[in-house]
This record gives sequence, C-alpha cells and structure tokens, in this order.
Amino acid sequence: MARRKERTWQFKFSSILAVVTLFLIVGYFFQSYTQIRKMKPVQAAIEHISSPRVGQIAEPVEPPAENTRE
Amino acid sequence: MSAATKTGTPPWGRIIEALAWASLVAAFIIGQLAARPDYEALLQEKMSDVKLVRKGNDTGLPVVFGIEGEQAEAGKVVVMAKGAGYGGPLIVGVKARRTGDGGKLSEIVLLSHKETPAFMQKLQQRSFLKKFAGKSISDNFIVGDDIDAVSGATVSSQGFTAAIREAVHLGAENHLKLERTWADPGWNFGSNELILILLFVLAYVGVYRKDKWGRYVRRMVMVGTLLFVGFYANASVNLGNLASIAMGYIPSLKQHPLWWIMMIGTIGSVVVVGRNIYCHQICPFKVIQDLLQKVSGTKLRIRPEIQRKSRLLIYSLSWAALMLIFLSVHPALGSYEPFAMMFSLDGLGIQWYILPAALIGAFFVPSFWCRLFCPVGLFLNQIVRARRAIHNQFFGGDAGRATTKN
Repeated sequence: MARRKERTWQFKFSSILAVVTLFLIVGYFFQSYTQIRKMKPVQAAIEHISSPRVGQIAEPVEPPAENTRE
Repeated sequence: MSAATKTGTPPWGRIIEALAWASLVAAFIIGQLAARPDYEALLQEKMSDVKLVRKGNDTGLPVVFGIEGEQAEAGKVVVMAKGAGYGGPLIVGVKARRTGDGGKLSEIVLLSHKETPAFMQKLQQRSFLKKFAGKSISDNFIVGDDIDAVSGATVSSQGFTAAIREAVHLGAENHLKLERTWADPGWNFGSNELILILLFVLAYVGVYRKDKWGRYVRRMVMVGTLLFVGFYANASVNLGNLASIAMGYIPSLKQHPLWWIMMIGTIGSVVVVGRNIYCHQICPFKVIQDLLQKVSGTKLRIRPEIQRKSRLLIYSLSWAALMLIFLSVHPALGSYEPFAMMFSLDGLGIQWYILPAALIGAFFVPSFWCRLFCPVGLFLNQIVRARRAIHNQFFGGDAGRATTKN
C-alpha cells in the first residue's frame, strides 16, 4: 500500500514536470514564430564610425516577400 | 492487413503519419519557393542615399551594383554576396569605394542570416560590425587574423566575416580593379578537431570494451565531452543541425571541420556500425543529466502510459519544430533543445525556462530530456532500427542495437 502511494506521488511529480516542460516548448515555438516576424536587416555605416547610427546595428524594415533571386 | 482494417476501422495512426509527412513536404516546398524576401529591394531600401543599378544579368549571388544619380562617382561599388555561416547562408550587402591607396569598406548591411538568434544578439550587443571600421578592402577579413571573433559566438562571427569577405573581395578584384594582395582563408583544422576525433575514437573503444579499461575510457570520454563538446566548443547536435542538412545548408568543410566531424561521427556510427554512439557517449547534455542523477540519487518513475507515449510526444514536437524550420527556412528557430543554452548561457526569452525545467526533471527522473523530449535521440535510434531491419532482411542476425529509451 505504502509502495503504491509512493509510486503515485512519483508519477504525479514526474508527470507535472513533463507537462510543464511540454508547455514551455510549445511556448518556445510561439516565441520562435514571433521572432521570425521580427527579424530585420542589420546595418552599419562603417565609414561614419563616430556617428550614433553605427553600432546600433538594426533599423526596422519589413522585408518585402517577392522577386526571389537567391 | 492490420486488425483495424479487418474490423473496418480506418487506420488512423497511418493516416495521421501520412498527413504529417505530407504537411512537412508541403512546408518545405512553400518555405523554399514562396517566402523569400527580395534582397535587392531590401538592400536598396537600406542604402536609400544612392540608386543601385545592377551590373550583369546573373540570377544568383553574388550581385554587383553600380551607383547612379547625384552621388554617382567612379570607384564606388555595392556587392551583395552570400557566405556560409554555421546555421546556413548569410547574405550581406557591402558598399566599398576606391581610395588613393586601395579601397575602403564604407557600409555593411546584413540582409539575412540563419544563425542562432541568441548568438546574433550577442554579436549585436558587442557591436561586432565595429570591428570592420577602418578596414581596407584589400585586408584579409579572416577571423583570428585581422578580425577578432566575439567570445561565445565565434562560429557566427566566422560566418558573418566570410560573407563580408566574399562580397568585398569580389568588388575589389572585379570592379574596382584592385590587385589581389589578400590571403585566402586556409583550412580551419586544428587541435579542436583532433580532440573531437579522439573523443569519438575513445567512445567507440568504450562501447566495445566491456572490461575495466572500457569503464575508464567511458569515464574519460564523459569528462572530455562535457568540457570540450559542451563548455568549450558548444557543439552539441540538435534538430536544427539535422534539418539544415535536409535543407542543404551545409557549412563549408574548410571553415567548419568540427561540424563535419561531429556529423560524420554521429550519423556514421549509426549507419555504419549500428550504434548510437552520440547519445550515449558524446552528448554533453546526457552527461549533465547523469551527473544530476548521481547528485540527487532520486530515480522517480514516469507514469507508464506517458513512457509508452513518449515516442508519439517527441514525434509531435519534432513535427512542430520541423514545420517551423521549413516554413521559416531558418533551422535554428525550431531547435527547442536547451543544449546550446546550457553551455553558453545565451538564450532568448522562454528558453531560459526550458533549461531549468529540463535540469530539474533530470534531477529527479533519469535521462528526463532524452526519454521524453529529445528529437535527436529518437532520430538516431530510428536509423539504428531501420539499419537493423534492413540488415536482418538481407543478411539475417543482429545488426546493432538502439539503446536509448525513446
């Protein structure tokens, strides 16, 4: 009886851990998806290194999705 | 004929499996054909102070642009080129101009990359592009030579620099008519690669020797892989690596021999000898899990029905990850494994919670991640099983064992 109780506790705990991890992974997929939508080109005007624009690598631009050439 | 078909019940398992494969193929095709940005328009938008006019009719990269309009002047060129990164190609546009003593790099635009976002974020935070300030276009542009890598993002630094090198040198030689004075990057083969080969060799010895020497060797490999593959090189195999092979994003052998050794050692062991050497001997995250188990001494059981369904769970997660990878054409974005983050402590957002969950799980449940979530283990073991089935079919007898629990 005690053994069964112990096993139930173990099952519950490991199941909760597994479910929490699963939810986190699903959350990661969602975050990855939003990450893709946020990806922007990165730019630096190397010759104007003292300019405040440099080093601040990205400027938001929505990439147009057509005319593939790669 | 299965029992399900005999009784008239549709074989739902097979139907779902077929749909999963079909959706993956569709996602792959859609990703390859439909979701590509117009890099030329993007580059023009970023370099809005000049009007770019394409030279030549080449349809692939690299593309060379002249500059037209008010700012047009001889000796200025913009080149868009592709360099091989670790996760896939990096596409850059560079503007260079001729000077009295050669030429200067004046602007860089990174248009697209397939690197792990956390490593690219690191490059941004450490202002990696500033390292190109004041560079002459005749410089070598080689990491470790005239460019310093960002610590902890060496591979991404190399890929980025390679793309810039390709673009700059093409423009310098073919369009600004500069003499070739720069050095080509040599083979990036050194002590790191030798250590990884040694680890694989020792891992094979450890698997096949069952005596006390085999035990010593296995312990040595365990320490070696944790320190080298984990903390030093951070070169664990993940789903993104496998997906990038499927997508043809294979890093250059010359620049990334470590990747090649890891892949040949990992996939070669399952295909050639039918042993999943990677999961049991080389994976540093497995070592971390085993160590946590030793520390805790707690071996909680997993509910049998969850254990039984674990393969289905990993298949589902792998399917979701591959859909994301194929649609985004970005292998790193679907890699949900916490391996890279464990050893570099660089991650984005929710990854910071997956790692502790996996570690807490491993503290209480033996091989928690491997048994319930790891797509790499499942993939490798599937190859072992397929190999065994093929071997038994044609030659009979035992042809290697799939030894992980998923």
